[in-house]
Amino acid sequence: MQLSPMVNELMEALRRLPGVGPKSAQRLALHLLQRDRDGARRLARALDAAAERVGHCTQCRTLTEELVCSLCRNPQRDRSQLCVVEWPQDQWSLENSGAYRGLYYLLMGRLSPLDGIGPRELGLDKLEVRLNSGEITEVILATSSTIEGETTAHVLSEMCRVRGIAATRLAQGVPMGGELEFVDGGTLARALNDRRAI
Amino acid sequence: MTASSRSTGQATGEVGFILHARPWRDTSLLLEVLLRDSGRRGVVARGARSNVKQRGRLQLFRPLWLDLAGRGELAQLRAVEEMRILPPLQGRALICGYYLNELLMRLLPRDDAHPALFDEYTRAIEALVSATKEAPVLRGFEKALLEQLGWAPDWNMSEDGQPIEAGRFYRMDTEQGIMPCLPHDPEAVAGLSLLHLAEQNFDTAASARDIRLLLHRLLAPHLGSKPLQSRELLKLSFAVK
Repeated sequence: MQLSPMVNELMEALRRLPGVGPKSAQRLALHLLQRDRDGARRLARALDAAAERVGHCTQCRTLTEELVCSLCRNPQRDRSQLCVVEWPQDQWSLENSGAYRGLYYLLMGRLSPLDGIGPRELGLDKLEVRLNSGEITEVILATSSTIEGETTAHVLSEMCRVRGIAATRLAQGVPMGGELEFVDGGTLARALNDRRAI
Repeated sequence: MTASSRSTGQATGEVGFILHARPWRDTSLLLEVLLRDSGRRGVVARGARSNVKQRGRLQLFRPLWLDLAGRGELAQLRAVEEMRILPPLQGRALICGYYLNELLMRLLPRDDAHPALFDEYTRAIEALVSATKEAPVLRGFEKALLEQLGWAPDWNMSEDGQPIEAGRFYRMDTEQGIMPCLPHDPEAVAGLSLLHLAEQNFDTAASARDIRLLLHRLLAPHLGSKPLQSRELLKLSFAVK
């Protein structure tokens, strides 16, 4: 059936979302148009405003519509600790853990030589400026535990070492509630290596 | 940990390493693998990113048993298991591992089987795991790569058919091979360095730099003009030391 151009455009636009195929796009479009016009208008306004105004914090590079995000401005945060993560979602996960009181720096990616993502592409020079400020005494390397994440952590740790800044890496081991039988060999080896006295 | 001992005895599947993995569609991975008996191949691992168990096995620098289906441009990954657990590469060794992979991705065409080169790669990765010095491992692999792909000259003889003499000087011509030259030639290397190269002696301070330059000079015309990212990273890693 021939759909009206506007309905068609809405469905095409919804398909830009990850995991949304033609069927889901149709379902979402019909829901918004038939059952929730107010929701549709609100979504449109929110999308428009966010796409127009949200940029990156000039200090930590997280997503924000302000010049400096509220976390970086918060005087309660420990300014001597800097936690380096790959993406905003990693920062949010760490924040939700409630265990961290320092500041963040977001790389917006990780070193991946074979994809052509090197130090320049990742903007490590901006991080160097931050490290040179002298405010930071510890850098927590919270890049992911993938090969690319390890490579990134290694290069960053070298950057810290030459500046005499302590670099630490997130611990790895048996997850909470995890049974040893189901933990992979690599993780178990690390857990054994990094075991601690109790 | 996995049932590798059970499956390695099966007739299907091949031994291989993953050279490169990148996300494909929402949940899949597009892999570039190096197989011992079939060479480099592109492989789709469907759903691998949402499958924690499989994602954990699909790691670089680990010997894997891979069961592939399909003969076309892209094979499908049916099953994967770890052959044996190698300790992960760390720090600079990790960047060296990337360097080996980048060389293979750049220089080895797909579907071109080189079992001997695969064995060299396996040895190099194993050596990087435990090596205190990475450079000799890299030189050994570069030499093997040049030899296996038919780009290496006869290391023991100059182009005029004379054996290399330790006290004389030579330069590497990428077209013609090893040419005798005068000591003040800007590209001159000592015959001793060439002899060390021929006998895989990569760890002598007097010749290590010459050997590196010689091997890189031979690789350069095949690598193209785009710089190797891993080499840039290595420079950075050495420079800040």
